[in-house]
Amino acid sequence: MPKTIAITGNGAMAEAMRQINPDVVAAFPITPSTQVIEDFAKFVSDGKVDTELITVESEHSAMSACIGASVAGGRVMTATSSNGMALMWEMLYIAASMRQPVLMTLVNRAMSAPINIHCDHGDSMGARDAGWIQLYAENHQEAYDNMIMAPVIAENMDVRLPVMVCMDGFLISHSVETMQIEEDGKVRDFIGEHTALNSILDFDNPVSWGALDLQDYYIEHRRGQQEAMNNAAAVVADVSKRFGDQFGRKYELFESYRLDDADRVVVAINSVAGEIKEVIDELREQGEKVGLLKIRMFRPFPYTGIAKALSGCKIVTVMDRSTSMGAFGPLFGEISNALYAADNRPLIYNRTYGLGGREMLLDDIKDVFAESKEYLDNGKVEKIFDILNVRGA
Amino acid sequence: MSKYFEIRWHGRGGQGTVTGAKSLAEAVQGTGKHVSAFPDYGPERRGAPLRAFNRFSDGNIRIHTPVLEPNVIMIVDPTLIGTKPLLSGVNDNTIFVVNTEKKPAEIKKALGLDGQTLYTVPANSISYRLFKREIPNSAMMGAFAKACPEIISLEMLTKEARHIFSHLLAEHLVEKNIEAIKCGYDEVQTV
Repeated sequence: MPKTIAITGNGAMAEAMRQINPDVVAAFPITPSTQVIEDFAKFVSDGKVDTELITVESEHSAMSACIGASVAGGRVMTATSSNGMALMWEMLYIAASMRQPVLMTLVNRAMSAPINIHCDHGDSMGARDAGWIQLYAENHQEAYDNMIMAPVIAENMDVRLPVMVCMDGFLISHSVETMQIEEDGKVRDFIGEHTALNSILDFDNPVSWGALDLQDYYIEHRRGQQEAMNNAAAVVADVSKRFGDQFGRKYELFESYRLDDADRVVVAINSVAGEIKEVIDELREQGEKVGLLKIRMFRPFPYTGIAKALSGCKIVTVMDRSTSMGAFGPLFGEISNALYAADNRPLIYNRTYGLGGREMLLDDIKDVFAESKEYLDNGKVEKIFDILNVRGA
Repeated sequence: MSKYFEIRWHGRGGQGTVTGAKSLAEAVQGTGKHVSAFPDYGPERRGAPLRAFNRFSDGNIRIHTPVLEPNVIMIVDPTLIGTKPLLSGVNDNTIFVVNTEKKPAEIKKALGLDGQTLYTVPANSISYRLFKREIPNSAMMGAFAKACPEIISLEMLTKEARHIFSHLLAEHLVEKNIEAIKCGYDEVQTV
């Protein structure tokens, strides 16, 4: 039987790590992800896992140690946030390009400066081109479930790529919520044994990792990496289906909430989806045809499915919790890309919200829907880009 | 009116208010309800006013926003009485649970309340009596069970609390906390 418990998001991720029982964890603490490794370190000390925990001196070293342990043939995990992941930057790309199935809990936090420990998605969105599969979660349960699926996705032979499981800092990481933790045995059966692939420690079959690769082959390796990333979409879908069959919670690459007959749709990522669903239910009771498309998998981006899901609606508000300075929000860019070739293209515009933890209350979400109604009634978008709940605008 | 049962705690950094909200959530979780607990996330400074929140529900709790119109206001530090944020979102049905040695009528007057139900509990003196220091959480939880038996009974609270504390504390401290819960429950006064 699964256990229903009240636990923090970070605690839930530590539970997932305990069940995965990785060979190596290398990490350096940073708010708001610190508790993931704190809790996991207790499991190590208590002998509940077989993991070698390496407490390194920086995040760059953390990811370097993860890559080293991974090419040695281990199942490897880490956790970080914001500037911590930024310090891994070089190694993030190397983990992905060396096709190492490293697993990361990324607790979303705003990038400095000014120093801010609260939630936005600037960290993971900045890393969207690094070559990691990115899964996002609305709540504790989804974050835990994504992490249980992560090794199965990452280690699939059509994929072999690192996976970043993202959840909102503080809002999820530090809040206590009711969720289910599955049985250890069932989780371990679902994940399966890890098999080393071309281990650098296999002296009978010597291999080189991270070799020089110039004009002659670099582009082919990049093409191969792109292909692996494209393969990941089907693998994520397949693993999610198996997960649903096994544990009863169904996941798609994105979630459609009251979308079928919706005229006005909001597209969003992570915890704000809960608030949006709450407001949608209220507006639906008043006869408003509103819906939500929630992104679960941002890399690889499911363009075709999203184009199909949104092609029936009339207006789309894309909500970005990060900024791409000098450009539209990263999610808006992808949704626009997806919709360009769609039939019955809806109106579309971009709203930035919640940077550095700025609150989005239910009334703020109602304002978002009120604006989309106004735009739809007028048949045009007044402002394609704007920032919500901001002074001086 | 929210479909969730919502609590807002007012305390000061260092008093364990956030832990109080989390412990109450874990205890109510044991009754089969869905729960959430979280503080206002700011820099936590010893002595500075802080808020923590609970939501309880028979179904999923989807929202993560601060509680604006609480069913119950838990005042862990009575020196906060008179500060504006304490009364934000209060309506006629809001229930108050206040950690104080003073009489309920006096506190009601100090808060400027009208018809609302208010309970007082001397959680600090209970805590000094049992622990020789100020850790009012367990007594506050006991008082909550008195104020809102429909959410959790004293019997269920002590059972769940024993389970929760046994993972965190030595056995004699577990029993002392259970005693604090019972004292909190027994020593509640109302108008």
